[in-house]
Amino acid sequence: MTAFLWNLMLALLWAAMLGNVTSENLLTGFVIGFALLALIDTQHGPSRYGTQAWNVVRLVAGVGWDVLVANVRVAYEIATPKLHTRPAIYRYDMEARTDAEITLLTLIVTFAPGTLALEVSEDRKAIYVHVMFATTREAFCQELRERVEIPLLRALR
Amino acid sequence: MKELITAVLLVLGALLMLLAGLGLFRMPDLFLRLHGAAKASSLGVGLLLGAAALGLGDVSVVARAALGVTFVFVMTPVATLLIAQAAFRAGIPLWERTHQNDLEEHHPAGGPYEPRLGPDGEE
Amino acid sequence: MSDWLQSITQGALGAISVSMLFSLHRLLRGPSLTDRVVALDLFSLQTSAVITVYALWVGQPELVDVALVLAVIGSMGTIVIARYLYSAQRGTP
Repeated sequence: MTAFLWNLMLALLWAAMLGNVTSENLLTGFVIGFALLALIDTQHGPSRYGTQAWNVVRLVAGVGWDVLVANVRVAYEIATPKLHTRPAIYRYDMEARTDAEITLLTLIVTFAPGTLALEVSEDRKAIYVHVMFATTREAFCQELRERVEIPLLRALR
Repeated sequence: MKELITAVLLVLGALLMLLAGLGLFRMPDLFLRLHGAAKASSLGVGLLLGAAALGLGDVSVVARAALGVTFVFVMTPVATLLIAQAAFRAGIPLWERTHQNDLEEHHPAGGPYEPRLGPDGEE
Repeated sequence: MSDWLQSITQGALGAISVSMLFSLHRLLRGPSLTDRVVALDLFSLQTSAVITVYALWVGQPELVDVALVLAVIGSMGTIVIARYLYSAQRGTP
């Protein structure tokens, strides 16, 4: 996160140094700053900025695809006269711990195909998810973990 | 080309809004209605704002549309979560074909709300 | 703006209006108060969608501001009402 702010600052600095702030100059500065931040080693070891950015891009692409699929599937369900839904409410034990992780996880679950986050448990260890097309709890938990939670934690940590 | 993309975004957004209304109309219980309302309407408003930004072609409109899409996509899950909690506390019945309910074991649905009141009805 | 885009815009306005009728039905007939809250939330989003499409139709960029503010305030209002229901309701819908 701090690295991203540094990246924006470097882009601004590059454009200001060139004398006129246009979108082309800002874009060039951003690319150069990205390369710098991804290549330079920090005092803790090699920089993780490149892999981190790649994980964020993968998360955004996956979630965007999920939102599209969710809408197509729910649209089919609503528009055809017969209802095939088999709703259920499952408890999902999550690995996310901090506030930001839990918030983002519930946000993504609400937009993911056929699922809707209903409640976070009191001890913040589990969320309750309303599923539109239910199978079993184990299958659902495994799918959610592999498709959403592991990419999310990889992008955040 | 720009007009074509605008038209596609408009048609998709209007269809999604229509689906959100239809889902609200014919789904059997509150939680299934929330599915349609939360997903379809937020994506529909996002697409329509995108169409307006592209069709009007103004930088300030693009910025405002981006801001609006962000707001809608952040606010909708929060509203959904709070509505669901209120519904559970009020004991809204689930559809009879809901075949498993883990939340019920956690705290019983329709459990009457017990405000912590003193003997005189004061806190 | 060309002719066919004008007619597509009008069609979109019509579709959103029909969907507003659906959510109005749920608002009037909803079996519980929570259903009405959901309908009201969707109704405010649909109103802001109508304003957006109208801004595109008449070519007035200022109207997008109105739609944006309405969407934000509508979601805020839903959150406040849901919060109120959560803390004020004693068992009965």
